[in-house]
Amino acid sequence: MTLPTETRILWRVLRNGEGRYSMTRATHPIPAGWTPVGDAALRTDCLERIGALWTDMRPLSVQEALA
Amino acid sequence: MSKDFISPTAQPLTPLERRIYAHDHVGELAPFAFETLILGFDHRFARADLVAAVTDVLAHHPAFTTAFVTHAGGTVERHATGHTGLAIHQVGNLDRARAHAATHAPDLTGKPACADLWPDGSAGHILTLVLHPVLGDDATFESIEAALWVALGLRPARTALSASVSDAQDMNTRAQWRELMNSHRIARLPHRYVPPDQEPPAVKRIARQITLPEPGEAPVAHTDIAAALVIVLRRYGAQDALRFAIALPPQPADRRRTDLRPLCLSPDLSAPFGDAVALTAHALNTTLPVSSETLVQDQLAHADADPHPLGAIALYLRAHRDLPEGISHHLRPMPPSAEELVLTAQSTPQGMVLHADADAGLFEPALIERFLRHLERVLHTGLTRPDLPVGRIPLVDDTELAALSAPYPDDTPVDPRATHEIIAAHALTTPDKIAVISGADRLTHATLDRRANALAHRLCAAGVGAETPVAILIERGADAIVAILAVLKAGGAYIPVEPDHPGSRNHHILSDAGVAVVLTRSHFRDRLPDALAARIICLDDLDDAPRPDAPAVTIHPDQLAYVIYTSGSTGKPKGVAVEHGPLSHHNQTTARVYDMTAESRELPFLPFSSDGGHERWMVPLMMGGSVVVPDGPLWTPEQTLGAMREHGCNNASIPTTYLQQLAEWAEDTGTAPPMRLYSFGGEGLAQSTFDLLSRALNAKTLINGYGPTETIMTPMVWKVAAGTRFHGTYAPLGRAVGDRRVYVLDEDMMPCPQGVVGEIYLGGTGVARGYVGQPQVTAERFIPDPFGPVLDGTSGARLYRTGDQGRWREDGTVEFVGRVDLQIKINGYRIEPGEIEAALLGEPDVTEALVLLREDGEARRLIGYVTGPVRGTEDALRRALETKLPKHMLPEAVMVLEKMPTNPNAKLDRAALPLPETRSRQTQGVAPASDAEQQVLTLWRDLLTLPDLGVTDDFFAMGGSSLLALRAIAAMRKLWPDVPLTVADFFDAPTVRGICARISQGGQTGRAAITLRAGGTRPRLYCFPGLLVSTREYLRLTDYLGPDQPITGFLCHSLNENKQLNVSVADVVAEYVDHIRRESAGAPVAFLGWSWGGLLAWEAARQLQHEVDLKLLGMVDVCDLGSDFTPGVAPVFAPGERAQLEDDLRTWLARTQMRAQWDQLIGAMDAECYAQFLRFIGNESDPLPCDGPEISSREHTFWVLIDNALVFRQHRLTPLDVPVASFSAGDSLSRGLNLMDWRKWSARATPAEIVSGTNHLHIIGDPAFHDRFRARLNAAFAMG
Repeated sequence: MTLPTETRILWRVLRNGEGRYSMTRATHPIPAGWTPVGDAALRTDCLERIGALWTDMRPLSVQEALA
Repeated sequence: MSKDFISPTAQPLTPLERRIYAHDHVGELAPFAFETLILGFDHRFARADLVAAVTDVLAHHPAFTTAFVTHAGGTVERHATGHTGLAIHQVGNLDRARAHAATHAPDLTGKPACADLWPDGSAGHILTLVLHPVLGDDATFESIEAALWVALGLRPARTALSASVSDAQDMNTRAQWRELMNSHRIARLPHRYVPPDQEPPAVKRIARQITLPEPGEAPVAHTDIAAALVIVLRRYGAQDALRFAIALPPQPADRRRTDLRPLCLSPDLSAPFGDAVALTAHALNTTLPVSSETLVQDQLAHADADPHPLGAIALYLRAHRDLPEGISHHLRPMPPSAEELVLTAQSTPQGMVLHADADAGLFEPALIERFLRHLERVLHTGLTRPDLPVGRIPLVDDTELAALSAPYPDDTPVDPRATHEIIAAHALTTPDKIAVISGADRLTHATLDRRANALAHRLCAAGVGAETPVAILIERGADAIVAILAVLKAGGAYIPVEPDHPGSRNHHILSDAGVAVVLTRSHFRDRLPDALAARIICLDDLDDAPRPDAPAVTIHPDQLAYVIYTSGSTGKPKGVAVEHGPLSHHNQTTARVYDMTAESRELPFLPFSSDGGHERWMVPLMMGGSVVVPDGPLWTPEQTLGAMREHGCNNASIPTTYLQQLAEWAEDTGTAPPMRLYSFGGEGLAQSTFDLLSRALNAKTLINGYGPTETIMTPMVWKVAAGTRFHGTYAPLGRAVGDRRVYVLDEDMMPCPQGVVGEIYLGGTGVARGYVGQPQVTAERFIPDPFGPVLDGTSGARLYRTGDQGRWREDGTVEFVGRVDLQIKINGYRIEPGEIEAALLGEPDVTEALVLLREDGEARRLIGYVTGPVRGTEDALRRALETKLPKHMLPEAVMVLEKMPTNPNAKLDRAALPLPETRSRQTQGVAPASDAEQQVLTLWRDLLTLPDLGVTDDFFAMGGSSLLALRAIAAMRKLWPDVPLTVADFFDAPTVRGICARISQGGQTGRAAITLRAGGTRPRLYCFPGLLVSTREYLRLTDYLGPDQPITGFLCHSLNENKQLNVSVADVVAEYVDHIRRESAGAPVAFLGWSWGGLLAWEAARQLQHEVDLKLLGMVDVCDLGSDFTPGVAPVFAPGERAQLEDDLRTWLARTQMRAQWDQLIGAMDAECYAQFLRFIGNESDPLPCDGPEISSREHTFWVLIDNALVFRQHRLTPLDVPVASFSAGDSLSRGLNLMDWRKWSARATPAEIVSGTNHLHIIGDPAFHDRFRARLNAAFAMG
């Protein structure tokens, strides 16, 4: 369902306090509890960044408890 | 007054005036209404001055000086010979003036306008002016007011108004409009669900009004309103390119004008409000001049035209009218209530007043109120925040969103323990109470706990701990529950794997999840992959003694509890990882919503490969109750109901498809045990299925559950008492459960208003961790929650995008609409299969419906699948859809299936659905068996251009039209000159073999009556044909009236074999009358006459008046002779024109092959008729046709038309005492067709019902006509 115009939309990678990653459109406000990771980029680039960064999907609190 | 010539001072009516005049003529003025203006004058105006000024205006303004003159043949003219007097009342006040104006209606033959002057009760006066709508509207009143101010000496005289605005109607302009309109879809607000056969509402229209605040320095401009409307309509789900009707503030006008025209726009939701205003202003300034009547007629020429060709929503913009001091408006007329929604934006010194006038049959009043609020919000926010993209302007505010998204109320504090810890506690409090029954197993709470403890210790010893995945490859039953509890007690995460699922799927799960340990049985070992790097523990190898103590393991709330695999759209199942905290919280609140207690005994039928199956054993055990787990997947309904009874179950959770079988069995055998609760879930559940469950299952409460695995088990439920009606296509999904919220969002992540379709999102803590090993997909589907921080003060929360489409209903629950990824785009149209499915589900007997776009080689074909009806009803179903859906949404074929194909998980298997053949050929081209068959087959193959046509193929199903049938008949007559053949023969025997059999038998062919439906208990309906009507035209009506309505159609005599010249109407109907006499003598019947068929029906009714019991005579768009051939109307020729026309006629006659027929016809004309014929030829813009005598040629049609005029002009109607219901096509009224007013001929005739949005040709297939005709038939038959 990717339309030609959609490929030009910029997205932002976000991360929350439990180390979970997600993304929103760069034009939308950032919801409370999320911090941007890197600059706004095309969707595919954002997904690539998430794939590289989010290597352990356990929440931070569990990682700490098990450490 | 009557004149036989067109007077030089007379003015023709405009198309709009003609339409309103015709509305009045046939007795149905709506949607037009009398136009009333009420003016107040204070004490400064003396009565004598007022009387003098008003009298002056009444004497000169065209609205008050017009009289209408009707000529023979129906032509109407305006003459300036009318007179309107001023009635002066001595006593009165505003209320009396209003009441008087409302009750003293103008009438066209007497006083088309009224004027009354009243005292106002203090020192002032009230003037009421009432106009027949054909004379004017609000803009006319503006010109009347201007004249009055001049007469009162308040304002200087102005130059005369321009007499008329020329309507540019050239073909070029029309073509440009057509292209523009066809590329912009008509915008609509969501219609409410109307249950079948619901009575129309008593109040026809909803009226609501708001005053828009002035947000800035400048007043709100009309283009701002139009732009806001475009945006709101787009946000209400209209297509990207949309249109609605708009009327700019009118200039003062002496006569009524149409100002409506379509506004076609493609708004950009990512641009700010200023851009939308500029776009709208540009569109308004660049529209080509055209009359709306022209556009409407142009659109209605297509059979599938929208009933509101300009737009279903009309916006009238009205400027403020400045009144002289001391004068006020008490009442101004509003625009006609013609569209689904009529908005009027009126500038006033207090601000812009927005008035909505909506169809009460289509809309909830609350929706109209919200819509006005949303217009206000867009306008206000757009003007005050000029940088915000319009797609991001909130329509739903935070308070409304908090209420709509809220879960079932539940303020019980959360128990911090994990699910298995809560279950284990019951081993101490009620150790001997039964917990699990399965097959021969009977486990008490204590036994269950001790066995799980023993296994848990072993798992710990095997290295299982926090976050360790353990696969459970054991069939559903007591052992599987023990194994799962053991994994949880050890701190691990369980992964259910169904032993009987395909090996490839299971192997994928085991490797994808990185399974460390597999718990199974030794006889399942061979189902594990050889290379599996996991420890395998077989339950039957173990001999551990049950023990009361669990391993000392602490569970972190964010620790993994289970991974369940769901089929992904890409093919490979994805593992959904769920944590302990949200799981336990979900189970606890679910227990409360389901009213579960220690007494609950549940029969969970859901498989363990779905998460719902686990909820339904965990929750009863957490409450100290028990479960009866089926020991095999394939219990019969009898076994299931027997188990419920034997074990005293009070709850059951069962997949919808199986529950339906269970209910059918229970209903047939009366064996449903009393139950407290059934819960079920699955894709869309129709009301008919829900009714069956309510009726047959003997339960108090029903719960429809919904939820993707990603949002943990059943995050949404709809809990109702059995027997609830839900007024929707599918049972609601209900509300969220626990610490969750549900949202319906648009593409811009903005909440959709109630009723508007968007994507369903679920947020709160009750969502999964994500997909195992898939960070990217997880990040795409679990998105940052923008609403939680605002509504609940949470932060860092996530929303899950379900991929399901839904809408908030009026009661705030969510309704399922379809899958987002199944949305289809064909030729630029966005199509929701769910909408087509809903239409199919609305048909009798249909229990399931599915619409898919199938790839068939190169072609993409939209196919509908249904279960329920018997095979053979496919064509009828498709025709039924034609009456409900626009053409671009019609499936190419509808297929009736025994049942929907399912995969091992009881889910729909799309790939297994059959594809229909391109053409509904019954057999593969059966070869001819005789010479006759060979001859006919060759002929048909040529006509249909189907070289492989067989002798048993249906002529019509293979693409044959009535016209082609006529050609085939003409050709076949040459083969068998002595055999009479009609279209009736084609209907009754539409195959080569069938028709040849009839020909060879002899005496079987040539009839004029066609049985459209043989059976049924109602009185038979006879349909009389219009010119060249073959009766196929009545098929849609036949479908609509249903299986209980027998119908016979007659073939038009001009299609008949034996053509006679100069027959009378009595001769034409003789054959029909004989047929009716044979079939229905003494019985109740109904007649339907369309076009010229109306006169035939009338004549048949006259001849049969003492022989049948005529319950109703339906007259559909029946016209009297136009002025062309009316006796007594002498045609006018320019000097020398007549001689020239006679010359042309001679030249043409010398060339035509129909010379003999024409000579005969012209020979039968008298002098007046011949002159009229010459005039008729002279008026034709095209040259006379020479393509006869073929039956479908233009020349043949022309001959039939003239022949018919001769028959007609000799015919004299006689009054009859019969019940008549007449119907007129809206388009016929604006074309000025000379429609019959049957009230002149029968005292039992009612005024015509006007079917707008259709024309003379298409009315017979129009669903709105069908609906009204059925209502009249029902009423007539009910009277006995």
